[in-house]
Amino acid sequence: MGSAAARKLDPPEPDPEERTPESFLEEIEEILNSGTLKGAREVAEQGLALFPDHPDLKQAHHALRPFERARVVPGYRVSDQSDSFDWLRKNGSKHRGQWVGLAHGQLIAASESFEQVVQALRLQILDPRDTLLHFID
Amino acid sequence: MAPYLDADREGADREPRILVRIALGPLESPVLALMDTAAPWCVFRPEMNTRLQKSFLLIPGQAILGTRLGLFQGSLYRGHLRLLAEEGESLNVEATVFVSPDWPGPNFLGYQGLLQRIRFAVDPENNHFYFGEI
Repeated sequence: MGSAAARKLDPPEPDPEERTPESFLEEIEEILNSGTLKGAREVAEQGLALFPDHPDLKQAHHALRPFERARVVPGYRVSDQSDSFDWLRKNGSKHRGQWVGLAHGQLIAASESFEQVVQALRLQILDPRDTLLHFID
Repeated sequence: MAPYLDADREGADREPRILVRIALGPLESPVLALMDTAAPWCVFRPEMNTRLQKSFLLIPGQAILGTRLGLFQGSLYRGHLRLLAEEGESLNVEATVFVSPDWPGPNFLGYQGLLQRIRFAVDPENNHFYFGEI
């Protein structure tokens, strides 16, 4: 067996600070609550090295992986919704606190329930690209 | 490029805004979200949590977001959003999204949560939002 394989089977070194998975997760939470991702992934890596099977550390490590570059979606465009924008400017104040579903300047549904408005748009069998959902605060 | 909406209702309390169209997936209706370069994360309305849970990955733990409306406790998610173009090409971008059951405001696109990973420009004369890959 080569030295590389032997190293792979070695158990991780004991943590001199005797940290637990929970303490790593708390540290990640603190970093995130400072409004940054910087360092959170490194803490997840350190935790995972000591506790490779801990499910929350595994999920945190995956969820904090480096970001992919933004990618163009060839040929995918939405339709002109300037009529719906005009509708919102003129009528939005009547629907404060509600979700509205619009298509080409026509109100399809308005409700406090997001799902109800989504369903109403679906029932009209509209191409989603011709529709607009918005919450008016 | 996509036109943006600068006011979604009339009223003296309304400030100028940049509301752009995004989608959580190719079969989803576009939703308007407010661009905010001062916001660390994207912030979504609580009603959208069920949709996020389908296609986004939860970052374990609770997060706290300080805003002008106060402190909000919620969860962070990681996944892909689509910035929708009316001319040119739409863009898939990885986003970090904060959702709190108590959030009363609109949807936001934050800087670290999304905007810092794209090129973007605003033409206020024509209400045009330009965006593309870095």
